[in-house]
Amino acid sequence: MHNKLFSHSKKVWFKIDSKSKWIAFIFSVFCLVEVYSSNDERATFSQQNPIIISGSITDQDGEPLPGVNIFLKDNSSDGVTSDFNGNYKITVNSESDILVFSYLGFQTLEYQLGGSQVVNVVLLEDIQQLDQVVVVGYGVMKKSDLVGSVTSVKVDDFINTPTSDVQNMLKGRAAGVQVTLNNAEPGGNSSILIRGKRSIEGSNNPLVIVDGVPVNSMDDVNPNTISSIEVLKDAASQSIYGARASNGVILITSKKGEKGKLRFSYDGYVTTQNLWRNFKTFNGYEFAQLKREAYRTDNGGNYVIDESVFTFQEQRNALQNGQFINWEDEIINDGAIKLSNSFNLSGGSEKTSFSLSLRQFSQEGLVLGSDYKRHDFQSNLTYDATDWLTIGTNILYNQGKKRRASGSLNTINSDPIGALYNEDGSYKTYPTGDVSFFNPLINRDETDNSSITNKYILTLFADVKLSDDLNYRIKASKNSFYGKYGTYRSSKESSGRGVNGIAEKDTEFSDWITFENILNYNKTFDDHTIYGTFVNSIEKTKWERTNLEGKNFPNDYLGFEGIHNARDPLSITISGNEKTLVSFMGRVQYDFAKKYYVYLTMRADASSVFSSSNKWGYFPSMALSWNLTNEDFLLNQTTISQLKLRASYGAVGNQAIRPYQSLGIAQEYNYLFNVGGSNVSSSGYSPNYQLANPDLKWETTRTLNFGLDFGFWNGRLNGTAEYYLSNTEDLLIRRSIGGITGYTQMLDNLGKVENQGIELSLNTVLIDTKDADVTFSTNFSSNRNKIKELYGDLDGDGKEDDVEGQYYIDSPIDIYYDYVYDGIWQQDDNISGSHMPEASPGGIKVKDLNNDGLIDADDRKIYVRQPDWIGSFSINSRYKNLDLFIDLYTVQGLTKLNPFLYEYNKGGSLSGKVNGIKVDYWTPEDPSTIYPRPTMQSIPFMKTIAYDNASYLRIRNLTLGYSIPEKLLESININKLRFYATAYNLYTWTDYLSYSPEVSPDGYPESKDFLFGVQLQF
Amino acid sequence: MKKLQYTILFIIFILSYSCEEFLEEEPITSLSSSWVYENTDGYQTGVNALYNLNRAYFGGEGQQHQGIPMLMSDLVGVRAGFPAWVYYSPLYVTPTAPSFPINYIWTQHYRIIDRSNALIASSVNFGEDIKSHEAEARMFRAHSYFTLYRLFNNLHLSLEPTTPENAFDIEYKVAAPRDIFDAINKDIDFAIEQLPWITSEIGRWTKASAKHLKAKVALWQSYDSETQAEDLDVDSYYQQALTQSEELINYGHYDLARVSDVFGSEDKPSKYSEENLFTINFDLELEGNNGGGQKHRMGTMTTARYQELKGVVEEDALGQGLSWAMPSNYLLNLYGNDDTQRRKDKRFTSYYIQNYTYNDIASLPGGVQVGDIVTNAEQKLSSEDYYRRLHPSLAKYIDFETTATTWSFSDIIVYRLAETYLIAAEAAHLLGDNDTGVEYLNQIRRRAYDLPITQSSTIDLSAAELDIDLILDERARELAMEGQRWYTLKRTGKLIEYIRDHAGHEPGFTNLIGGELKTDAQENILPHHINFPIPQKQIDVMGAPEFQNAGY
Repeated sequence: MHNKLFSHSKKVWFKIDSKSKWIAFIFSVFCLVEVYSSNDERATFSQQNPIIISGSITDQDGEPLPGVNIFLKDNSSDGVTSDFNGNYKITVNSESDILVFSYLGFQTLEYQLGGSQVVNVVLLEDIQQLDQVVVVGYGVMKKSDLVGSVTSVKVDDFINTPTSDVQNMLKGRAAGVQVTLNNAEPGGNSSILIRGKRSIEGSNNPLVIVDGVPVNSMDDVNPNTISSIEVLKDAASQSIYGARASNGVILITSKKGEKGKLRFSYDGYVTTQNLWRNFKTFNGYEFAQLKREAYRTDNGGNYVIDESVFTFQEQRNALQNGQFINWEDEIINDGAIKLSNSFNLSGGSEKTSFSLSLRQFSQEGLVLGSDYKRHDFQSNLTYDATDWLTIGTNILYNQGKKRRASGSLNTINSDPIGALYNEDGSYKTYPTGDVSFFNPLINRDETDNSSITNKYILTLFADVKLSDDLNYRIKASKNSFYGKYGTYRSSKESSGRGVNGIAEKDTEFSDWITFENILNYNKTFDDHTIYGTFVNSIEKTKWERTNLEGKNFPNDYLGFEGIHNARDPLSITISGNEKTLVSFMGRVQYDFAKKYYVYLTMRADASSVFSSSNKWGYFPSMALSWNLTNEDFLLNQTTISQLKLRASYGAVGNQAIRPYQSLGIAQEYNYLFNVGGSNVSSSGYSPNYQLANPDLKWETTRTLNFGLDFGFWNGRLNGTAEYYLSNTEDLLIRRSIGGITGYTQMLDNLGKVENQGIELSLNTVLIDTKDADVTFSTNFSSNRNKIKELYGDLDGDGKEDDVEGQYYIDSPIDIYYDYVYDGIWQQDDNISGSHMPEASPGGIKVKDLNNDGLIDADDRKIYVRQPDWIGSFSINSRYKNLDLFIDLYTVQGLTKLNPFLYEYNKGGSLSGKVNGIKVDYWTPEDPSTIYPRPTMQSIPFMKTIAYDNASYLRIRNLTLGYSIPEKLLESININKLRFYATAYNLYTWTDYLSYSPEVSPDGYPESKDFLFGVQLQF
Repeated sequence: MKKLQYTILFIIFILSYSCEEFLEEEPITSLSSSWVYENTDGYQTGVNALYNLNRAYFGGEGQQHQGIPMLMSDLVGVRAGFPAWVYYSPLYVTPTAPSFPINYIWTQHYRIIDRSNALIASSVNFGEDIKSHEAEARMFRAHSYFTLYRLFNNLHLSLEPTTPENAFDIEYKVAAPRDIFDAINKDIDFAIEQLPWITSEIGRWTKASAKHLKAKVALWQSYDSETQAEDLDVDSYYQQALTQSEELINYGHYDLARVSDVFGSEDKPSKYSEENLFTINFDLELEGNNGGGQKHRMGTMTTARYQELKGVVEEDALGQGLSWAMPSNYLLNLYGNDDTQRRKDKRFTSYYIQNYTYNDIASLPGGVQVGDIVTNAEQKLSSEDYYRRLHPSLAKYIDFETTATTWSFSDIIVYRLAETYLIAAEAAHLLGDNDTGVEYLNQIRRRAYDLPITQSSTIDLSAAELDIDLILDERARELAMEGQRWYTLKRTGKLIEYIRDHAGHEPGFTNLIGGELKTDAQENILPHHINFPIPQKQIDVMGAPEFQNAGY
């Protein structure tokens, strides 16, 4: 039967214009195959008064729908499917039966029979996809049955971000999820914050689970193999992950094979990366003038002769012939290429299914000397061994090779007045003639800083069908990491040249073994449905790192790989740790008539990192939901298609501290004594500066969440609104203790942090016709973070604030605390009579916040570093074969300190020693009202000028695609062929002067990308 | 079939239940601290760790506090680099200053005290043979309290180890100076009794170094009446200082070395000599965890940036110079008014680098050859660059033993017999015995001029002219920048006066065009600077009496 249907399907392949319908058909046929095979024996008993109902099923446009499941409401196991023309025939027992029409991607229709034997129905497209299955951790649930706060991310919008940084792809795709770029270098990464910062000392990274296996980072996954991403946001959904879930959970499900159809797809793109910035540095002449001004200020306002300012011949030459060094040009590789090729082969036979993926990604750095290459391999395989046993394996492997450019972006701030090359074309060692300024380009070329990382995740599982309602899964996985990092500074590099080369080599490995028993129970009787899950899991993580250092090499040929040749002794450091976790989890969801839902979970976790009396933590949660859509009073109307209220409360933990912190550890403090003329090492051990805390325990976060899911006009307008209030207690804090104890800090469970916020996501289908669709989506999230309690008033000043740690009660965790910039003192100002009598014209004026006539520590204020709100807006549209995607992203209301506007080493201090962001500085002749007067002395309160508003609005993605009409592809057996072009980070509006509003100007620049890509499927 | 399934399930559950042991933590790469206090081998490592903690003050190139109080005094000119503490810049001499260096001094010494407390308290677990190790711990405790007292004055006194249980009961209370010195003296007396005169492991405390410290403590107490015991008069302190010094000088094993051998030279690279009483050991070969310590900054900060001279590249012994601090005009003049005179005092030629030589053929200026001594005639340096590159450097921290390192692994001599002589001289003078006093002083002088030590000579001073200022001058010539000057001036009550008069360079010292070396310390120092403030960081977590930081 299976094969027959299969061959049949081939015949209709070309007739059906909508591709997705065909897939759905195949899918539902397979579902029914199962149904049929188990029904054969029962069929004979149910034919007492057979009535045959028939009819046709179409969509709104009148297109026939093949493969719709039709069954009786009372007996869902007896069913048929519609044929390729949308026609069906079903045998029923009574005229009062209710027929259910169910089809993936369409709203399920219940039809009360009323005598007529011909029932033609029109199925409405389900824009909200309420039948969609959502992964919820240790199981799946229908979207319509969800009680907790779970956001599914649309993978299609996500995938066309041209980066190897999977976290960054998630940016703006889900409300409540804040993604911030850490490092834009090739192979760099971002960090994810879900619903605000909870932990001060512990990690704030969410738990990431790939196909049920916990991993370190989303980057372990090849984005092209992702089939769905779910973000668990409230305690009710998270608490099944107990002790590790307090920062949220991201569940990633990879693509699995479909039985019966061999499918091949290819995705590839090529990108050019281009420099974006919103500032300039001083050019040679301007910088020379800045230098003169700085000298002049320090010389009582009189200019110093050029010979004294530019003491080196190289500088004078450059000024004479007007040839300066453009450092940015020297280090930036504008137009650097990124390439991605991704292949996927999937399919299966009656008993097996498989999916194989391969990806190759390579990126030249926007900064010369850096690049990244990555290879991904993934295979998912399942085999139905018997009718009650399925076994399977998932294998994931990737390798990344990264090369870092030596030195930071500070090179752009180097003195431009000089010459780069010697007469023979080689780099000058001292471009400006000043021997304290070594040519950074030599350092770049003479330093090798590279790494190779390998990641393996192996999973084996067996599913045992214990009864119709009860399933058991046993799963074991091993997640291994092996990394090798090396740095070599050759004998020509500035620090290596005195010592004939310096090498450093690190190897790191970790093993993470997870073993799980999962029982799933699922039963519906009458109006009652119960889902139950019970899990037992154990985990063990082992980590070790070996660091080697050596110098003085016979030659530079082998680089850090030749570290054994070091003639000056190697230093070897080995560090390692182990941790274990044992957990039990139970979950029950009950609903009555799909209207009233109750959801209870309880997880108990025991982690080795806590003290022996505090190893176990218990994390209960509860949720209630009322699905008004299924109430009678909403049945006979078409305006409201979905209305569901949700409320949940529960607790989750954060175990993110390093192992051994609750033990008193003695560290090595070795010494040497001179014995008989030679130095002999002598072993020494002592506790370090941190006092052990034998009572360490979990950080616990309790979250209250209210949610509303709504859909109007058949889901044409749909969305979700949520409010949450979470309190984190027993905060792990490294509290300072008085030095008189012999220790300076101790890790302790103290303090409370509160987060509250609202999230809104909205989708509107503006146009939905055969030839064109336009969908508008937006999400908005706003979080308020507050420290509620610290460790009490230590110094007796009546305030609980931790000045040293920069933590203030009722303020967010991430702040700056400083004076407030108030302009520049001008010559006519009454300075001596002001609150800053010591100031001079051209100096920075700060606000006397408490109006006491002087500037002291009380005149500082809090600058908030977390945004007020984040939003994204996207438009997905199609006209015939053309598609257009526009994505805007905005972050609003945060302050970021710009080091290039105040730090001496980054030219911010206007000392004329280091070039910096070009600003309109103050001179007596041309008094600026914004920037101070250049000087070689430090400018008081310079930092206050550098607290910038780092809000931004960005056109993140603009994609135009064209799919070759299927008619043209038929003859060459190709299913889909789409070409697209994307402009990524096309434009950014921000006041923050940098290469990216999320990265300081000395960080690796974030590029503006132009991409061309192909998607092919057959 | 079902039964089979359930059985498998059951077995798996049972297997995964035994979790008590599974959850136990056992560190892989470290030891538990109880081992240190409960095991004989552990006890020994605990004592060794104290030497490491004591050395850590000089560990690492980034720790700029290393100049405090090693260099800060009237004897240095400061060019740049330091946390401006060294020249009392008002911007930095405040307890709330960013990266306040004094915090490290405070916490590190209390750390040594706490670990010593733990070792001393746990010595009851062991027999007699542990006593000499306990004595080492007591020396560290006494030494740390003595150092902290001299810097901060108002101390918390704790002789019990900190545990997680009592950590939050420990409150900062100012102890009576007399109680602090009572504890110090008890510890040193115990050490004098238990320690051997000579150790086969050079670097450890000995009876000799204990006696030297006892003499120093007694001399301090003789000036500081608050520290004196109620039943003792001031003469007994003078006598104590003299007795301890003389017992040490007369013991026989320790002796004044040739001046050129004290801090080593190209010919005799080691800093070990019969003059050493207590040294802090470093060794590049055993760098880091092998016990050799981290390269320190003392050498580079007191060496000119000679490597920035045209025709000169870094030399192995000198390493990389930073030119942060250099001998002041006053100090150089103490050796004589001109170069010829100064060179007669071998300390001037041995304790300082006077000349740099051309060593890089590739960048030689015209008219000179490799091996020639660099002069400003070829370099034509501005005043600022002269101080930066060509000024004399201190040789006391130059690492003659290690090659191919830009930073110093030179051993640091903390106490040496020359100082014992000078203590004896001062104690005798204070007792009114100027004849004895001046003889100790003259022996140091004769040694400096390569004369027979016990024969009177033309450079001798007379008993009649002996006074504190003269002793201070000789201490300056002998012990400059060895970390004693600041304390000595504070002890004798001359800190403010001497810094106001001498620190940095006076105008007109060189014939160069342009400005002088920084004289900021002269201008900046204020009376309250004789006590360091308790760091705000510490006040924030433990509170402090208001009078402590008065003036800051």
